Amino acid sequence: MSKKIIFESSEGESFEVDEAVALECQTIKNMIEDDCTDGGIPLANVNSATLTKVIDYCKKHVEAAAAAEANAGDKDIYGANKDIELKTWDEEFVKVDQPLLFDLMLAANFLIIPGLLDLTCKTMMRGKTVLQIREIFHIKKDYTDAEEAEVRKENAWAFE
Amino acid sequence: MKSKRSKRAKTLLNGRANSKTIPTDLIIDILSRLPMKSVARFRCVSKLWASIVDLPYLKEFFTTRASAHPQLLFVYKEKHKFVFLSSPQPQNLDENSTPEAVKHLSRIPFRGSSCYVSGHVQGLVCLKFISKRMSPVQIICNPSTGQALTLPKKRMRRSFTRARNILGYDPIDNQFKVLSITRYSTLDQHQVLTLGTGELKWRTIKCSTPQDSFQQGICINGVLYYPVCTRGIDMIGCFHVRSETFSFIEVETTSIGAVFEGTLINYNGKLSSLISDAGDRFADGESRSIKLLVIGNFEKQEWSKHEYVLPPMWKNVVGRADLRLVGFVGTSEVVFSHPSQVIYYNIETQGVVKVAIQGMGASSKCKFATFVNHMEDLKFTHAFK
Repeated sequence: MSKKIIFESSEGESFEVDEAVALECQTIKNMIEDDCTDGGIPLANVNSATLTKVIDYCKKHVEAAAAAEANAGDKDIYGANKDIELKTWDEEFVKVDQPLLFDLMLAANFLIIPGLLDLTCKTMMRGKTVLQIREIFHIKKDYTDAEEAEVRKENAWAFE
Repeated sequence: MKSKRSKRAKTLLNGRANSKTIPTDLIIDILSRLPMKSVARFRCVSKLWASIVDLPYLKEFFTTRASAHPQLLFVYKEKHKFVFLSSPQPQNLDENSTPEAVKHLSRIPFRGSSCYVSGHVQGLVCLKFISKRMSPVQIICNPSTGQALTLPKKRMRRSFTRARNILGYDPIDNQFKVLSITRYSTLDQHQVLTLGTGELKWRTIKCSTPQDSFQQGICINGVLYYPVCTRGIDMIGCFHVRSETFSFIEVETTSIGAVFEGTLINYNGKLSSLISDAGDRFADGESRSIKLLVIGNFEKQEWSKHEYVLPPMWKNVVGRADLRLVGFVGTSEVVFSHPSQVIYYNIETQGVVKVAIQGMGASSKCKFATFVNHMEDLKFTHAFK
């Protein structure tokens, strides 16, 4: 039986996962290598809802990587593995509300899961207006109206 | 390591509580994943975000990213407009290549006639047309951003003197300069203008060699090369963009045709010329071969000649289309263009691949130009300040 790692969410809830799944997180990988995972890993800044999603993502990608290895002969002429199924799964995976997406991004950043960070960043930013970005990131406009007009004028091409 | 980790965790914890202190490194990370256009737009989010976009480190990153994804650039003329489109330059070609969709970049309006594209350097394009008042107008523009500026008129000592402008780029100081060569010049004076210095102003520079230039130039590694005739001798002029000095390469008699009638290209960093068997920069289904003349650079010349015989399938693939010789993608794919298709001929495998370009619409019958290795880069916005 494979080794298990226990995560603890900010609410104190425990999540047991296979070590292989936990290794998807670079931060955890470092901790495992440093041998400091006994008694569970408290993730004070990741809530249960986010952690559930993160584990789902890691599980899926570990499975997909194993399957890809088994079918190594199926690679196309470019040497790339066109895993359309996984891509579709990823697209479905990030169909969540904005706050959860934001939390997922922060968790991916903290736990260092490059694939999930890329996926959440791009999904979150795609097609967003300046106002929406301010809202998502809780940024207060620090430009005066005149300054903002000037910056918009300089970058007018990006608003077309 | 541990303390760093817990510090980071603390920041994130605070960040989650009120989402006010999202770490700057994460903002950098997010922006580095986005297309150029989004990045420029998000300059308007806040002063912090604008300062992040302008970080030299991030700009360098975007340049590297852009050069990893070179584009084909198409320039069309519509009524009173130059239209810019791009499509990805294929990295791997096979015979079942699917059509490429074009991306619309920008449109530059103009009022006049006899327009043409007079050069392409490092993501910027030089356009020329004759205004309604019958005077030549030159525009430098960035097709990716639609930024454009009109070059100021030059003071000419004599009204009948004519000049040709060529755009050059100095990679060391990251500066664009326009060289204006005065034709029929017993005057030994030419003019240079540096972009991005606030005020656009022509400066006079001297060259003791009289020059009579009729041809397009190409800029490679900070040197502008252009075919030129000086005192009746065919030469290649070399203008060193950074030092603003000239040197000349004498053209061997057997290479004059290729230099003056072919398409000057950058082949693997070397000045080269592509020419069809008809002795010009065009090809069609009847073409039998193409020639590549590798000239070298201003310090070291090669003058090596290569002829590539087109395979029997060439005629079937090309059909009745008239093609232009555009240049090379990598070191083995020769690019030919036609308004609605691009043809690649691999000089090593002899393969010919036609890639249909979709989305040109009605403009496909208009005057056009195609360039290889176009880069979408924010770094050059400074040239328009």
